[in-house]
This record gives sequence, structure tokens and C-alpha cells, in this order.
Amino acid sequence: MVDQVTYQVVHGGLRALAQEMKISVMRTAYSPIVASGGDMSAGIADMDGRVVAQGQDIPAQLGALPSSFDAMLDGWRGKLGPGDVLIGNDPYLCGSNHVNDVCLIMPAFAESGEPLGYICTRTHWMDIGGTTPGSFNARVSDMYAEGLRIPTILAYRNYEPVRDVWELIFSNVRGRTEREWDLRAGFAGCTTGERGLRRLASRYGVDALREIMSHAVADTESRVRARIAAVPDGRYSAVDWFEGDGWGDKPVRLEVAVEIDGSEVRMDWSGTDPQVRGGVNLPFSSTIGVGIYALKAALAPDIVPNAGMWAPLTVTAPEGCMVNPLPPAPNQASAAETIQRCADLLMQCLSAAVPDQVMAGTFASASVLMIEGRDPIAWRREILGRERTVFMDNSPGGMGGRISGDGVSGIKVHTGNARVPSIESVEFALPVRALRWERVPDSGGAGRERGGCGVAREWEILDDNVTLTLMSERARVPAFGLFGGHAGEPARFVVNDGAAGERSLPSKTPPTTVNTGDRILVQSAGGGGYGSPAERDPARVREDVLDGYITPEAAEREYGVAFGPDGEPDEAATRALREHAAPAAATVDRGTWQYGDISY
Amino acid sequence: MTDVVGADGGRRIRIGIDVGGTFTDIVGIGDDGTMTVIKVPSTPQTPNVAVIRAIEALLEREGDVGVDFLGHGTTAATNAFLTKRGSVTALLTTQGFEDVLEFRRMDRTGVLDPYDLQLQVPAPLVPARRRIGVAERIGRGGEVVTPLTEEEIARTVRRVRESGAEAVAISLLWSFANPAHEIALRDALIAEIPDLFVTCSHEIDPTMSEYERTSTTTVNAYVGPLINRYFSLVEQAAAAKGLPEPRIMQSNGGLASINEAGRRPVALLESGPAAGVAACAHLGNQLGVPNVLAVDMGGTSFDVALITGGEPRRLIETEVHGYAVRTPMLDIRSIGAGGGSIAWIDEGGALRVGPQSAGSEPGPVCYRRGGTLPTVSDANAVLGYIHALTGGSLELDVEAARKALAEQIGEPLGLDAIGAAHAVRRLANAHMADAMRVMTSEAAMSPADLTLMVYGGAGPLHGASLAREMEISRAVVPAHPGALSAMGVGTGDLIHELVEPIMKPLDVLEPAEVGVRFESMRQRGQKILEGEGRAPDDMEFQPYIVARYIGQMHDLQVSLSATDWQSMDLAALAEHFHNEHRRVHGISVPGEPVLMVSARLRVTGKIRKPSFAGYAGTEAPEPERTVTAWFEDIGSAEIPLYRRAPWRPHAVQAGPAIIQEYDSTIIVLPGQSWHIDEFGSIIIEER
Repeated sequence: MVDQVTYQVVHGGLRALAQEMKISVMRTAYSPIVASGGDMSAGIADMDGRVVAQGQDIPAQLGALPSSFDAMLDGWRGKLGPGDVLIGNDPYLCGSNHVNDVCLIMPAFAESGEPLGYICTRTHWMDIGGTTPGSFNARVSDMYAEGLRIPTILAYRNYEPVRDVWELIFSNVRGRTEREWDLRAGFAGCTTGERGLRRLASRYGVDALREIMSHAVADTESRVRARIAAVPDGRYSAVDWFEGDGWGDKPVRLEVAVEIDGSEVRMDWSGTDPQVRGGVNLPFSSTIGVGIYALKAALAPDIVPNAGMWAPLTVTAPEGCMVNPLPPAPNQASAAETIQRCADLLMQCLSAAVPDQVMAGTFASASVLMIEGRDPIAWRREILGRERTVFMDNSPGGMGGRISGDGVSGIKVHTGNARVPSIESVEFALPVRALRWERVPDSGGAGRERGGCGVAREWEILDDNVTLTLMSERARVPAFGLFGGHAGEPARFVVNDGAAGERSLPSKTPPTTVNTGDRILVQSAGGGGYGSPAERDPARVREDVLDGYITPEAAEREYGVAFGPDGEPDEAATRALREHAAPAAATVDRGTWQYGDISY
Repeated sequence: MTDVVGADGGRRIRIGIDVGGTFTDIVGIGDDGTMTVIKVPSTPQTPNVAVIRAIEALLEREGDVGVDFLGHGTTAATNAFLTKRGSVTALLTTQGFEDVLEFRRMDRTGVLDPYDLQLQVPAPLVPARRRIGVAERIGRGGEVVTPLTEEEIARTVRRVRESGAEAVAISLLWSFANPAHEIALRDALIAEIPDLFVTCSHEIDPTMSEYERTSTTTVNAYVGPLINRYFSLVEQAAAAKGLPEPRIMQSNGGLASINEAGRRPVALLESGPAAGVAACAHLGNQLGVPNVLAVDMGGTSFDVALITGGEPRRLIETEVHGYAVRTPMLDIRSIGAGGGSIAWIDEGGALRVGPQSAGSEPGPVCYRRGGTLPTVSDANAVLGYIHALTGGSLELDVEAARKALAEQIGEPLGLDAIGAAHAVRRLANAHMADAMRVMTSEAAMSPADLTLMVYGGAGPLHGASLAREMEISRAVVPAHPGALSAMGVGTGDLIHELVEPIMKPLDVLEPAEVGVRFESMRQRGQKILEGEGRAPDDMEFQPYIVARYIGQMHDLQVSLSATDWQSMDLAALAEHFHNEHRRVHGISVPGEPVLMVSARLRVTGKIRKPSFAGYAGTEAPEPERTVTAWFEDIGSAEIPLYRRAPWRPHAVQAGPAIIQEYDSTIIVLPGQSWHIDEFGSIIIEER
């Protein structure tokens, strides 16, 4: 029986080990998105394949860990020796978010040969083959166009690469050298994990280590169950609409019911539309993953995540629906877009159960703008021996209001966390020049706690035949407000905004050509407000006007705040305005949402 | 300008002062190697008052001495920044990009937890109402896209005046490629608005990526006026006492004149911690240990730095309390434990230590300042490890600590007071060891390669346990561990960092093109050091480049040898880059083009350093008495208590032992041995 403090010490050691694994992957990886973006995850599982510790990973990859252990170890348990490493990336067979996320699993053994558990690392490869480099185009025919599918196979045997497997994989991806290092980076993380587990086992004993692993899972589970039990029992459901699949602009219905029953949580996605043609279907492992995210964020942000956290959670979805698609439904962009809208929708459900612990609707997107064109720098064209270049720009947007304060203007939300490239680095890479990069006043939904503003990022094109591909959301379905808070302003994607012949783009725009002098505006959606704007302190409204979050007109129209000649709120006039304001709607109803006219 | 004034003939000393949150430490280092350490309470609102008191106390103790040197580590910049008491600041940006400062990097890392739906982003230092867009535009490569007109300059000056700003940060797009517009605005502002503190981004951080550059420039402007007012007070006080002009410790571990430091206060944010690390590096080099894990544990902080090959690891970019700061500094990690960390029982019934701290007010229970929550210091008191603070200035209330630990920690866990104290200490040590293990793995070092150096008021209490926990074979406690930062300030060199942006691959650059940049930096550096009274013989120049593979986003620092500098062989530079990349990241990609991001020069004005070799005596250590203390392996026992003195080197003693000194207490565990070396350091090793 391990004493409480030893348990705490070793449990802390396991979490630090997962962090060490992550550092070891980032130090070795070549892909910038892994090496500095940290788009990866690292975990340690017990002998049953239950996650016992993981690094401080990006939320989008959180749920993929348990799915991968379950799916990839199936059929391999007991058959792996020291240094045998499984590889897999297939969203349908390996629990991956999308084919770019390549997962490695290695068993760990003590010096004595006794098994200790499993190590897992997952890294986002910048390229995995398919039709377009690093593709973010929703308009694909099927998943074969998205890249190489790797089922669960051996990448290393006894710490040595399995050559046939390597040859097959690296013959099918772009940038062989870099990709080989991405794979080695994942392996480096695995060996770091194995070394650390061995150290802990030799110091505290194999049995003690196993006991501590079980205890960690049980400890988290009992804590999470206590949090769930404190939530009123009930079935909380919500509906919203996803904006098309890249082939058509037809809205896709997303529906989920969250049922709290004692210390159990069930998420049922019945009512969600069938899978769609474009690459926005959400693999079921991600549907589970976003459920875990919402559970943790709303109820247990401070509790150490491991298998105990999702033990009380059951996720179901009809086979063949958008959030439980069947192969070969394409899915690559869902990890950036669909999953975010699902996170928002789960918040909407939970708002009825735990109103103090959720967030109003967000811009819910990665807002990726792929720009392809002639490399503007001569020496680079020469050295790299290529004329054209491709760059993945992305945008932040409005966060929703929370009980603790306004939504942040210009930030990543929920499961997404990619850093936005600097203006200067984009201009350094592409024939474009930024015209503005600023908050959009009045775009955050009004509320006692205001939604964060959307941001406008507008580029002037400096060359002919530049190709733009857009992957975003909420151009038509705005971020919902909560408890009387208003919806945020929708996003806008416009070529030559305000000029004759301006052209609005849908949120999933397949490659489209622009030329010298054209402008492209990517304006992300604002977040929804939280609580009625009539309850916002007029002094805060005044500060918002001074700092340009809202205009004086919106202060009067949305917040019912009138200003005197000195610019300070006029109390009497404000009271009068607020008395006549319409009572705020208490609930969000997107079931009867009107999608509106199409005007592209 | 000179570092030497005062009495001729007679005894001469160097003075180092470090202003901390609780105490202002002063050390006088004699040319004979003797050291005098005094601590006076800090005066946070008016730090200069404590500085002057400390100087007076030291001079009184030292009697008739000449002062050769006065070094000063300061938290003034950090405090202004942390407490948001900097100046009313305006920010000038390219029109349309006023919000770059507020957008930050837009991801949730560092102080922001992505799972925390209630996260609060640090407020921008300049609100939108004082962010002024200027109609102008420089493009990639520095070409003028939109000229800056005289009318626009006049309009901008008017708006700055109306904003009531006391300081202005100017950060325009691509200013590092063409600073003309920033210069024009700066000159107009200085000419039109007297006493305005103006900082340009191309002067403070001439490198690519606008958010980091703007943030760094803004922090500089925000703390500028305050820090310069403080410097002039200290300067006047020093002059009134006939002391040399103070030298200021910077985050890079080197000193600068008041003039230089006042222009770049953003480079002072880690002044005190950097001084301690610099002292460890100096001491490590004297001891012949090149790889050191330097651990500074105080009442409210736990800072760790790595020294490899005799050099502290350096960063060129970091985040300070949630704000991006891109200025060369020592890589010092705050892990946020410390003696004041509070022990508590969470909702699941488990023991936790930190992250909340009792701070210096109300402080640990045993400090008798009204603290009621048990802390790591209380655990140390209950175990019998500490008995009094700062040379007996404060008698501890051990009984109150015992009661707090027994009731708040012991009862829920089913432990007595001793058991609870041991649990708290063990968990605190484990947290610190975990954090250090992660940090050493970032540096691709194994604990087995390192020597642990512990200092700060609480570091020596935990050093022996941390070494054992991390399987580091040797822990070193320098002389006067509670004042090591002051020691570092008193023995530092003058160090300045210069940078020239390049942003071209090595294959395309002409050697002369790079050579001329290094030469220009050398001339500028030489001029700065001449201004600080250094002769050419005392100057050292360390050129290095910041580079990356062309497809990468993360940079690598690569040092150049004197030969590299003379030959400017760019193919050799590429080779160095590949090698360094392989050393740091385990891989290299030969043949892949290397992008040179910037050329950099670290210029050092060497200052003669005292050896610590004088700190040794002829007597073997003798315990003063025994005290009752509790250790895991032996339980409660009578343990010899020593009062630290310049003992005879290499007289090996067996642990356990408690060694008290003026500003700290050293614990040696059962099973360990300890001795003094020639420099007065206590060395603890496993037997």
C-alpha cells in the first residue's frame, strides 16, 4: 500500500514525464507546427491502455489519446516487445483527428522485463500526401484525396525502423527528409517516456508504480464524478447549423442532448444531419474528444486529466451522421472547424445546467486562409528552385462572454490554439501587403459581459494569379449570446470590400484566383454576449466607447446608455432608455433558425 | 567616468547592492577577499531609502575604506511593471495596426490555460484610447509605400500632447528595415514636447514580427520615466557620499552605466535574479565546475537557471508575467514555490503545496506576522531545521507552526505535526525536482552531468534534499547564500548586446555585407564601453548569429570564433549552424539553406574580479551545540548545529548537520557528508 504523499510525488512525476516527452518531441521535430507550434500530444497509459498522464497538450488532441489507445492496441496487446512501436493515422481505424496527426504507441518495460504500461506521442505532420500541400480545402471527393491512410502497423521493431514501412510511407508524402524527422521526433518522445517510467519503477517498485497509476485514474474519476453529481439532473439539448461543406452552401444541422444523471454524463448527437460530401465530417474519436473537452472546461478545468476524467462520459451518435461518419467520408478540416462548432454547441447545452461555468458562443473557427502565389523574393526562388509558394495564414476572433468578464477580442478559443503568423512574416513570404489588422467595433455581442470583437485582417494582393483557399465558419450563423446577451456579428469574407464589384465569399471557399490590386478581407465573427446588456454598468459602457469596442450609437441602441455633454453617462436618460428596452430573451433557440438569403 | 573614487591608500572595497522584495542586501568585498554582508528591510515605495541605509550601514561597519566600485541590482523596473504603476504611455503604430499590442500572439499559452473558460488576459499596457495610428507605411525590404508627411507628423505630435502621455513607444511596421519614419516622429516629439520619454522599436529590438517588437518597446516606454527618476536619486545619493557612479545589473547578467540602463529599462526586468546566476557562473568557473543548476529559493520565489560550459544559458525572447519581451537575457525560470508556499488539503482530500503563497505579508505562521496558513517554512521550523531569521533578528513561533500543521494538514491526513511537516516538505521538494528535470531535458542535459548550486534565504535548506531527489551527486552552497545576487552585482562585468537585422540566407549574402554589420556593431560597442570608462584592453567582443533553416519558425543562436569573425567565411558559418542544430535538436539537414535572421554582438567590459579564495580559515568546524530535529531515516534526534565561519578547507564532516549563518540555514541529510572548499563554499555529497 503506497502512502498518500508517495502517491502525490510519483503522480506529479508521471505528469512531469509527459511534459518531458513533449519537450523531447518538440526538440527533435522539423515541422514548424510541432517544433514551435506544439501541435502534438504525449501521454502515458497503464497496462490496460488507460491514459494515466498527459502533457499540457492542445485541447483538440486531448480526446484522440484514449481513442487511439483503444483502437490501435486492439489485437496487439501482449504481442509487443521492448522497442516495438505502432504507427497509425487513420481517423476511422486509429482514433486520429485527421490524417495529418500521426500517432505512435510503444510499450514500456521495467529493467526486469515486467510490463509497465504504454507510451504514446502524436505529431501533426505538415504534409501527409494527398492532392494539395498541407491541404485545407474542404472541396475534396473523398478521404483518399486528403492524404495517406496508415492503419495500425509496426514502424519500429526492437528500436530499429521497419524499413519496408518507412519506404512505403515516405514515398507517399512531400518533403521526405522533414517527415522522417517528424517520425523520429515521435519516437524520441516514446523513448524518453520509457526511460522515465523505468526510473520511477526502479525507485519505487513495479507494483507501487502500477498501484499509483490505478489510484491516479480512480482519484480523477471520483473528483470528476463529484463535480457531475453537483449538476442538476436533466436532459439539456441544443441545435445549431454548420455552414456548408465546401461543395454546397446548404446548412448542416448539428444537434446534441447532454444528459446529466447522477454522476454520469451522456452526450447524444441524434438529430444531427447525415455525413456530407466535403471534408468537414467529424470522425467519431473527435466527437468523443470534444465531449471530453467540454466536460473538463465546464466542470473540471483544475482536475488532472486522465482516463478517470472520461470514465463517467458516454457519447453516442447515429452511424453515418456528420459527427460519426463512415469511411471514406473526408474529414480533414473538421479538426479545425466542425469540432469548434460542436464545442460551442455543447456550451449552449451546458448553459442550462451550469450557467456560471460556460462561455457564450465564439467565432468557433481556425479561419485558415491558404495563399498560393509567386514567391516575391528572388533569392528564395533561386535557392529553393521553385517559383511559387504556399502559406497558411489564420485568424483569431471573438471569444464569448463569461460570468467572470467580457470575451477576449482576437484570441483562439476552445479546441484550437494555433499561433497567428505576424503581419511581417506573411508579407515576407507572399506577394501581399496588409492594409489593416484591427478589432471591429460593435462586432462583439452586447451583454452584461460583452462578447469579444471579431478582427479584420485585410490583404492587398501584389501579383497576378494568386490563389486563395478559405476555411472558416460563422459567416451566416452568428455566435449565440446567453441569458439575454446578444449574438455576435457574423464573419465577413470579401474580395474588394466596399468597391464596385465586391464579392462575398462563403466560409468554405475552394481555390479562387485574385490579381494585382485586389483585396481580400478576412473578418472573423464576434463572440456572443453573456447576460442582458441593460445590466451592464454604464461606466463600463463608457470605457468600451473610449477604447473603441463599441460605438456611441451602439452604446445607446444596444446598451441603453445615454451620454451627457461631458461624455459621461447621463443617469436619468439612461434609466429612461433602459425602462423602455425590450425584455431580454432567456433561452437560445436555433431550431427555428432562418438561414437567410444567399448573396454570394 | 570612473569606477574608482575615495580614499587613497588603505583598504579598498567593492560594493554590490541588490534590492529584493523583503530585504535590500549589500555586500562589501575587500581586495583581500573578505566579505561583509548586511541586510536592511526594503522600502518598496521608495527603494532608494533602503539603498542609502544599506550603504550607510556598510560604510559604518567598514570604517575608513576606499570604494572602487558600486554595483546595483534593482527591482524598480519589475515592480513598476508588475504593479502596473508605470507611466501614462502612448503608442504610435502604422495606421490600421493599432490593436497589434492587444492581440498578443493570440494563442493561449504561458499564463493562459486553454481549458480555463474564465481566463483573464493581461490588460494591454496602453489602452486603445492612447494607441495612435500614423498614416505611413514601410514595406518588405524597407521601401516607402506611403510617405510620412509633415502634416501627419504635426497631427501625431498634437495627439500625443492631448493624450497626456509621459512616455511614448513608437513601433511601425518594417521599421527594422527602414527606421526613417520612426526617427522623424521621434525627433519631432522630442523637439516639441519637453521631458517626454520616447522609445523607438528599431532602437530597442530591430527584428521581425511586429507584436513582439511592439510589446518590448511599450514595456520599455512604460517603465522608462520612473526608472530614470529612481536612477537620478540613487546617483545623487552615491555622489553625496563620494562613491563611484552606480553600475546597474541587467537581465543579461552584465552591468551597464546609468545612462545606458536608463535608455533600455526593459533590459532590467530580471536584474536581481540575473545577478545571482552571474555569481554562480563566476563561482562555478573558480571551482572548475562548468555545468551548474543554479537554484535560488527565497520566501516567495523559486528561480532556476542552467549554466553549461561555464556560460549561463541565454534567451533572446521570453514572456515576462504574460507580456512578450524580446531582449537578450539569462534563461531563468520562475517555478513559483518558495518558503511561503501554502500547504492545503483539496476537495479530494489530497495534500497540495502552492501555488498560493503567504508572501512576506502575512508570511508563514511561524513569522508572527499574522499568517494562519501553514507553509513550507513552517514545515522546516517544525522539523527543527530553522530557528531564527536573519542573524537572530526574529525568533520563530514554532509552536504556532506545529499547531497549524497538525490541525490543517495532519488531521485530515491522519498524521501528527512532524508527519505533516515532512509530507509538506517532501511534496514541495518533488515539485521543484520535477520542474528542474523538465528544464534540464530542454537543455539536453542529464542531472548526472550537473552540480547543484543553491542560494537565496531558503535554497540551502532544501539543496541536500533536491540533490538526492534528482540524483545529482554534489550540492554547493556558496558563502553568504542569502546575498549572492548582491555578490553577483559587486563582481559583474559590463555587458551590452547589439543586433543588426539581416533576414537573408547565408548562400545569398556577401561576406563583406555581413562583415560591415559586425564592424559597425563593434564600433558602437566600443564607444559605449569607452563611455563607461573601459580601456580597449578590457574589452571583449563575442559575435554570434541568430539563424534557422529556411522552412522553420524557431531560431537558433550560433556563436562565432575570432577566426570566423576575421575570415567571414559564410560556408563555415553554415557548417557551425548545422552542427549546433544537431547538438541542440539531435538533427541537422545538410544542404538545407540557412536563413540568417540577425547578426549580434555581445560586448563585455571586463572588470577585475576579486577571488573568493580568501574566505577560508585554519580551524576545523566544531558544532556550537545540538538541537532536536527530525529526519526521515533516523527520526527525531539531537543534531549538531554549527555556526558558519571561514573554516579550514577539506575537513570532511558527516551529516546530518544544521549549519546556521547570518542569512540562511544549511541542512545536510543523514548519509551525506560535507566540507568547505578554498572559496568558502560548503560542498555536500552522498557518502
